[in-house]
Amino acid sequence: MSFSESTYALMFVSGFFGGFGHCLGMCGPIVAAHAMNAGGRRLFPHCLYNLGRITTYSLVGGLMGLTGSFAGVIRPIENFQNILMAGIGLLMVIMGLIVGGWLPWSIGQGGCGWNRIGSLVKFVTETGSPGAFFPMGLLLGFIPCGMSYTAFIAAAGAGVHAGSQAEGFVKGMLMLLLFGLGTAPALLLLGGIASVIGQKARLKLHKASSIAMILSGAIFFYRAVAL
Amino acid sequence: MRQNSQSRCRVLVLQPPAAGWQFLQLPLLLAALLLAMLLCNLHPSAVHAADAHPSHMAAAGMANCEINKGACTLKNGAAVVTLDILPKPVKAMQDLSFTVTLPGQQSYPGLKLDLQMIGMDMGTNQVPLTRTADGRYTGTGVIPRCHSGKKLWSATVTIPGQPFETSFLFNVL
Repeated sequence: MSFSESTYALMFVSGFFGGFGHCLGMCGPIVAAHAMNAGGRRLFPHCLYNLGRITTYSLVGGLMGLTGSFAGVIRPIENFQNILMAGIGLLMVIMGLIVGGWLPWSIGQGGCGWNRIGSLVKFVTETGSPGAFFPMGLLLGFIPCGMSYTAFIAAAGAGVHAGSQAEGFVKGMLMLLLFGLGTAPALLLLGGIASVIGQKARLKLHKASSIAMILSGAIFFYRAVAL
Repeated sequence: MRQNSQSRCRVLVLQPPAAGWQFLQLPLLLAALLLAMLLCNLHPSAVHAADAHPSHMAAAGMANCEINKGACTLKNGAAVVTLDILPKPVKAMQDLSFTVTLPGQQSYPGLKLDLQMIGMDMGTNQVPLTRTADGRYTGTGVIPRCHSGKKLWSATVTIPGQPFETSFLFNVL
């Protein structure tokens, strides 16, 4: 096995085990939140979400390989990442409050004020179409994540030792593609389980899932603002 | 026409609340949220500083190296290993220069420096080291930030052919 092949294999394995160890804890609430509301199809929305997420990882990994610098690529987008994370946290809190019936507004009835947010929540969580889940995955691929950062650092390192910038881009992109694919089984499994639970016990766990969503969203928001 | 549109918005937004008791749950929810956030900020500190084994200190969330005050030296068996990280203070998400110093002038091909967050799997983060003219090993690496809020990291030096590793536990900003 050549150096490159072993590096790519290591990226996949790292993603696979990290997916079960790290991603379930850190990103699991997001997956569970949209799974509880995805309705009908169980795995299709999750596949689209993961495809979007892996696409973002691959492109950012390519940039890391191209420039050979982790800090140089991450620093300009760090604020955007934190705002994104805070926004997602806030959206999850609002979603939980609406679904739990603690806000006197229903989802997506009108065209102004809170109902616009309700419409957005409904679009994000209930559409189940490529128009919703793939872009959501693309966007959430930018969420600040320590484990994906480690993979980006490896891609930047590969870029430093690449013969050209184009080679660095391809190497970085492939490394993150394999890393992302490695993380997918854990998130797909969680999404599938959450969808099944969500459908079978939606009424029984209605309040509990709403509270979990609110707490998870609040923690996301807190981490984005405080750290 | 404009007035009609605005009043329609009010009608849609200000629907009468559902059962009143439901709103009593919200203060309880906020209290639980506050408690969860307080718990997130608690750090375990049950191990005494005298218990210097890195694995015990790691489990207790304690550092054995004050890297921001200078280079750290640890003795592990016959090996005396020194680690320094620049620039100081050591911050996450920036390029850092790692220097490992080992006793004697002999070469240690295959020397490894692994970075790992304590209490959270962050994947394999290895700093590539090269030997300098004065016999030290240097390399550039990055410590990523994790939104779990954990700050304790380990830098583990593995000398090829030796059965033990040396783990420096330190906090980053």
